[in-house]
Amino acid sequence: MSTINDNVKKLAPDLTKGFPASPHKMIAGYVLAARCVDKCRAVLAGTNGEYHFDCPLDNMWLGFAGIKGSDLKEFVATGADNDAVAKWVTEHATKRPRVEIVKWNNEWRYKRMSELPGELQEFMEDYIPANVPANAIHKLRYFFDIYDLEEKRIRA
Amino acid sequence: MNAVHPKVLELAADLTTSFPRSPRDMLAGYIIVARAVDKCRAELAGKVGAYKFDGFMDGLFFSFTGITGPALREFIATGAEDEAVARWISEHARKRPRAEIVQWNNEWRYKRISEMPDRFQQFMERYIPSVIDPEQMPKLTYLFDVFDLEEKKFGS
Repeated sequence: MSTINDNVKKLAPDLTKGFPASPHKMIAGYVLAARCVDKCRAVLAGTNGEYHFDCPLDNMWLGFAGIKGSDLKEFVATGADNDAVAKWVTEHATKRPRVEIVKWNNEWRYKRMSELPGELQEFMEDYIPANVPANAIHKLRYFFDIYDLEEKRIRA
Repeated sequence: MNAVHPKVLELAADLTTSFPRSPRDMLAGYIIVARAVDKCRAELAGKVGAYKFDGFMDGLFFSFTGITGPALREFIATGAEDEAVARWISEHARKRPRAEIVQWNNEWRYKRISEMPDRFQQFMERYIPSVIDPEQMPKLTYLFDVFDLEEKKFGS
């Protein structure tokens, strides 16, 4: 069994007690990336709890960036901090004009539930009432709000 | 004139002094209809005030499900409680996969006023400032917010 880099242990959030970064938080200019990296470190450190790395949400970003989850994990496992990860992402991501990345960020920041694939909408129809307090339902404007409400970054 | 079923009188909200449920509240897995049922009972009980059953909004549910306003009214007039109404709706609505119903729910939950027909937008242009305080306006993102703000169902 390979040992865990000390810096990974130091940087990894304990997702059994806390939450990963908001999907809004950026690394290397991409939304979703900071959350993905938090979960990656937590998986490496064994503190991911119920969170998964390389999940469909992570793959929205990884797919757009043209980065494989396994490659990112291998780099994060070296103990790289967020600045180093940002640099690595910029070097390895599909090269695009900045405006394309900004538009992709905004597409996801302002994505309504009604604009999600049918299967995800059906899943969310049960997930939302189970995880978002009923008195906060008016604060659920866009897809990312589900996570920010569930993880108390938006107050009910 | 037919006598009103005592159970309808018991269940009917007085819409001259209170509000029907939010269009977001669900019955039988559909949005809109819980509010329609409240208006229907209130109309049967003579307490509908300025509300109208089988109007534009209720019509969205009726055209999606293939249920008619008069048929729903006839069943509600028997004194049926919400649970029985939900069963009746499930039995009488056009059969669809759940995913289709969820997508229809989300289409309307996240409908912007700018996506409504021109005549409706024109109507709302006068209606909204007449029922919503100017300081509440930043909370108005979606069509249903108009009703929830007007009827003080929004959280802080």
